[in-house]
Amino acid sequence: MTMRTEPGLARRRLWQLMSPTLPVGAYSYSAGLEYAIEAGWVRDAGGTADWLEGQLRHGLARVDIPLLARLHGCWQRHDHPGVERTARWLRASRETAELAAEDHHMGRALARLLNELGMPEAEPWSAREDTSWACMFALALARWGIPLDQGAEAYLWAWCENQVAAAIKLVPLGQTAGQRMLLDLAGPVGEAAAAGLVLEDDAIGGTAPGLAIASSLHETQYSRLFRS
Amino acid sequence: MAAVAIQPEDVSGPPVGAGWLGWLDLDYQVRGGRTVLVRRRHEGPLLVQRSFHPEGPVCHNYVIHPPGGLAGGDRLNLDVRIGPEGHALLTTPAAAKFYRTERAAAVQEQTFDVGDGAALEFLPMESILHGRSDTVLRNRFRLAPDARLCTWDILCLGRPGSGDHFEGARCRQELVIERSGAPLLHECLNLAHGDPLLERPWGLDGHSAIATLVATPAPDDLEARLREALVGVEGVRLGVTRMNDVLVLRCLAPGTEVARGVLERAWRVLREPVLGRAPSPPRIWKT
Repeated sequence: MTMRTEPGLARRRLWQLMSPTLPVGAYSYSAGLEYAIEAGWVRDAGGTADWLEGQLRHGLARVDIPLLARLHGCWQRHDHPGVERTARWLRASRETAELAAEDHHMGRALARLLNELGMPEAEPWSAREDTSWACMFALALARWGIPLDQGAEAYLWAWCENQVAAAIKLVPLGQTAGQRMLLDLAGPVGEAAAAGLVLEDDAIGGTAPGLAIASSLHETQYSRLFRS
Repeated sequence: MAAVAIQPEDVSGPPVGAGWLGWLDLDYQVRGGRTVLVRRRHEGPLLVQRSFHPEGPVCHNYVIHPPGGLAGGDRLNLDVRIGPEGHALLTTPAAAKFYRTERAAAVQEQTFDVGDGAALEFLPMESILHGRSDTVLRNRFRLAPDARLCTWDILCLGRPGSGDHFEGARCRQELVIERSGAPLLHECLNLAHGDPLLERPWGLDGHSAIATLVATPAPDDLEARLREALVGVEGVRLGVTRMNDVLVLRCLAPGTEVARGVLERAWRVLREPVLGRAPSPPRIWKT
């Protein structure tokens, strides 16, 4: 069932997959940033950029990208036990209830959407405990013939866009400051994708302890704009 | 306070690498209503001495590493199995020290198999990561469906009071908890001197001690109880969360004493709800 997709079409499928208009609720989450701002750990555009780069290097490049790559390989080979094993590994690597819930909700939403877009094998994942955003994103890459390296960069880029959008509301920052931050994050996104794609199995795993604590504290933050 | 004397067996373990090898293998089973250490095998300088039963059924042991420290190429392996319905509490009498190395990394691997209905508490003293050390720490807990667990880890980056600020050092710490063969928690921390992780708010924010406590299965209200019990601890950054039924507490502290205080307080709150027994601190903690 792996489709041979013409490169131009695969590229346009990727634009659709990474668009902020994809109805998966990504805008509802701040992943600890809201607490960090409330606590004064992040105060301005520079602090926000640093907060995001730290997570790119210690979290996404060491967990999400290598596991996205393994999920992509499993989906391409129709290796369902491999998909399940890797999906559980990814789920066990989330640091907090909030981060796991975010990942789970977005993954389920993408599973429902892919099913409605003609990918029925996504449907069971709309109800599974071990569904995650990366697991469904990898399925879409595999079936739409999108090259993994482009998919990995897009995965990180979409994450950065959501976080920057949250920072614009929370810090707050102007729209131009947000765009400047994205311009600066383009380099780190490329480095994180490249580093994550070559990681060996026993090097997978990383965490940013301050982010994990911020996310834990956000779960009980009294007044907040973003979901937990 | 009954002590059980058993004869240690010396057997040949895994091949010895470049440095020292210490290897300790412990088997616990329930005998006559209490958990006993039915077999211990060791090689090199890693051992347990007597068992204590200060609370009756639960077996308390101290894991001792007489050299006290590891350098490059050294390897310490601890393998523990607890049979069905057993309950063991393991701690260490002294900090584990990881010294400077010019050679390969020092590796400490600790694996625990906890049987059905069994409980394990692994509550060691801190690990001190000296300047120019290179360390890999791996803890793996394999739980049967109804097994219970409480464990913690305290890492100290250098000895800031003595002018050791972790210069040129690095460490990878891994924690894996599996239940019925499926991963419940997989956590890794990659520390390297000079990495912004050590100084930035998303990382350690300049704290020299980082502590993690996990406990499972955690009843629904446990996070709230712990948060309440830990209100007012000064100078720490503290987060309590859960991954399904695994409670995770993370703490950044200015030093290991403070971190240890937080973990001991948390342990006193959770021992009854998670492990079904009132807190009975190992004698060695009072000294």
